[in-house]
Amino acid sequence: MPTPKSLAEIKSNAAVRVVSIEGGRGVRQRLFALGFHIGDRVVLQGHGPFRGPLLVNNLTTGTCLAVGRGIAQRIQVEAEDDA
Amino acid sequence: MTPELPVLILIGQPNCGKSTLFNSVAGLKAETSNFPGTTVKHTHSLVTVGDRLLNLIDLPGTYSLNPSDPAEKTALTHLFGEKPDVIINVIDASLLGRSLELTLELLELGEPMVVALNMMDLAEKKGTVIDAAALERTLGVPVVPVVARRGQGVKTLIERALELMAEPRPAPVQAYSGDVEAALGEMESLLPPGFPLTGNGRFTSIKLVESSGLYFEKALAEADPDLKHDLDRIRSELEARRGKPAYEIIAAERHHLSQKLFEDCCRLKPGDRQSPSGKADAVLMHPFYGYLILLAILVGFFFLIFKVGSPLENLLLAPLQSLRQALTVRLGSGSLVFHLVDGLLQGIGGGLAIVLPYFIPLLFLMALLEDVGYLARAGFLLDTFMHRIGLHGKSVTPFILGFGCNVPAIVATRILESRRDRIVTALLIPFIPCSARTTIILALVAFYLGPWWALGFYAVNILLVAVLGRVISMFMKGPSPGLILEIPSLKMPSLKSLVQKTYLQLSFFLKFAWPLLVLGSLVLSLLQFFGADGLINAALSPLVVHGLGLPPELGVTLVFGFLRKELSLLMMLQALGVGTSSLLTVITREQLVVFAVFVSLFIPCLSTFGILWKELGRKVAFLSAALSVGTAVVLSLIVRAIL
Repeated sequence: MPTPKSLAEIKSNAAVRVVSIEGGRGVRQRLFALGFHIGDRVVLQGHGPFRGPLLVNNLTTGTCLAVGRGIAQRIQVEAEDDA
Repeated sequence: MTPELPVLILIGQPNCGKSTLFNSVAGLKAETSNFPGTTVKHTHSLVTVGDRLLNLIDLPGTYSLNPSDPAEKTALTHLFGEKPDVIINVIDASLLGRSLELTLELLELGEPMVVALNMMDLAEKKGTVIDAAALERTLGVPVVPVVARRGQGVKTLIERALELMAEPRPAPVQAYSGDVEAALGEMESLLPPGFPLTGNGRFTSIKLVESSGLYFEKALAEADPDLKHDLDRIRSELEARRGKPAYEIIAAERHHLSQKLFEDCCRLKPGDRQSPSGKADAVLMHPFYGYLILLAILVGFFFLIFKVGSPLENLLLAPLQSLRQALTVRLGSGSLVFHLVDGLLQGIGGGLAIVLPYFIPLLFLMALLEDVGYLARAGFLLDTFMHRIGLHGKSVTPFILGFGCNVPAIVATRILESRRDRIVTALLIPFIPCSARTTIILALVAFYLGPWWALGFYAVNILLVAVLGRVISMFMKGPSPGLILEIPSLKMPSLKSLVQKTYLQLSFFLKFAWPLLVLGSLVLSLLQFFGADGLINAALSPLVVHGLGLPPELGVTLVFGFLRKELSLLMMLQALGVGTSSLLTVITREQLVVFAVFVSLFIPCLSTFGILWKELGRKVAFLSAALSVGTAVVLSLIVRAIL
């Protein structure tokens, strides 16, 4: 079984699955509303320099989000099983 | 009382092309843009379709009906307040899966509704083929494919909405999983008749179950403590069964339902479903090239505006100058008639020759940045720097809008979730050189001292925003929620939309600002004729002459700068009694810079002050004014000392 990592720790351009989203209700609800859910397949597209935000492409819903590092650290993902 | 007009309401997620659709129905009325939350106020328009007059309302974009920022709250308030006859749910077809989540929420209202599947062309580019008829069958409400940018399908959309209005059919219910439905059903059965706060019993029950601690529940606790007790029980039973908070259960239900709808009604073309902006974004948001491009855009825009504006200014000033000379000879420079005519001429001519040459290209380029979708990308790039001044990337949009005009920029702070972030951003916006100040900088500093001086002026100004941001954040601490910002796909701007937007802003200037310029020039002329300007100048001379080292005549122009910043510029020439060609014979280059610095910063203009008051309260407005005056004095003194 792959061990979950935070979104802030993974490599770019490899599809992963969202396992859990921690954090306050405001942040979680916002992520849900913007099309970012537990179980979605996402790809880290890149990040801003100097510990800048992460650019995350959601393959399930087709949205692209910029997410601050603090929030990304609380999003756990795991590599795809079949990968 | 006029007979009530049928109300059509447009609602959709940010950036779904709602405003473009609105424009395409309503003509030159609303502003559109490719950034979440740029329509932060709702826009009304009376439109005639066929032989019917309709009231069409464009609401701010909202991701869901559980609002998390003030702009979304506006959307929700109006959705219930306006009592629409038909809801038009605008969807970005290229983001169908996600957009349907809001659609499902809207369907829960049970009101007559039409779905406008916008951006069908973009969806196809992304490799998604949507079967609109299948979606219509499954949802049970009319679904109309539309490309609002090109006006395709708009007529059909309105026709279907009118058909629905003639024969209202409430939207059918989309059922969730059994246990959730059971909980919702129990809640609904307990609601006393006539209780629904909004919409119907089902909608009320869903909102009660999913929004613990929010407005709905507080209202309930006050109205009926027993019912509140039942609600808590139903919710905790559901939460215990699923092991998740209720809001998450409902969000996941909607998510799965919309994914299912998406899969049932769409065919994905084989191949990689890479977003069409992917390649461009790899460069635009590159950790090195991205910043290079950002810098190139800002500097490029600056030179472009200057290169367009300054020859035009020269061209237009020449006839104005000779007209003024002819008038002096004809009327004699001391008569009241001359003063009146001269005041008018300065106001009208100044607006035409000095302001418009820079204003129009600036508006056009701002519109371009917005429509392409660059603002969100700038927000991504600048997030790190914004953290240094205690904000985050979302504040970049209001800041960039501030280069056009501070007033909509302050309204746009509504997209920020936290009030503290709103206040800090709104306090900094008045230091962003808006189009009026750009005019001063270009027409005065660049025109007389060269473009590099003006560019330096800008650089110092932006540095000032950073320093002030740092200082304000020291006093206003508070957790800033992290950045969550949607990066919309890049869109090819349409010339029509750019022209519409420029025209809209321009007409605002012509209607409200220009008369003010003319009036100001006229008043100054009269003050000069009666010798009253001397009194004001004398009163201000400790600051103007001793502090700033400027000619005493400029005192009066500063007073008028509060109305419109350009007014100070026009009146400066008038007060000194010289034409543009001979300005440097009466004041030195250093004085010119000090004047430009002081005028740019010394106070938010009247409209900005007004909007600060309205949006964030009197305290913030006065704090902003004090901050501006203090900063202007200090910085002008420093500039004077250095030069």
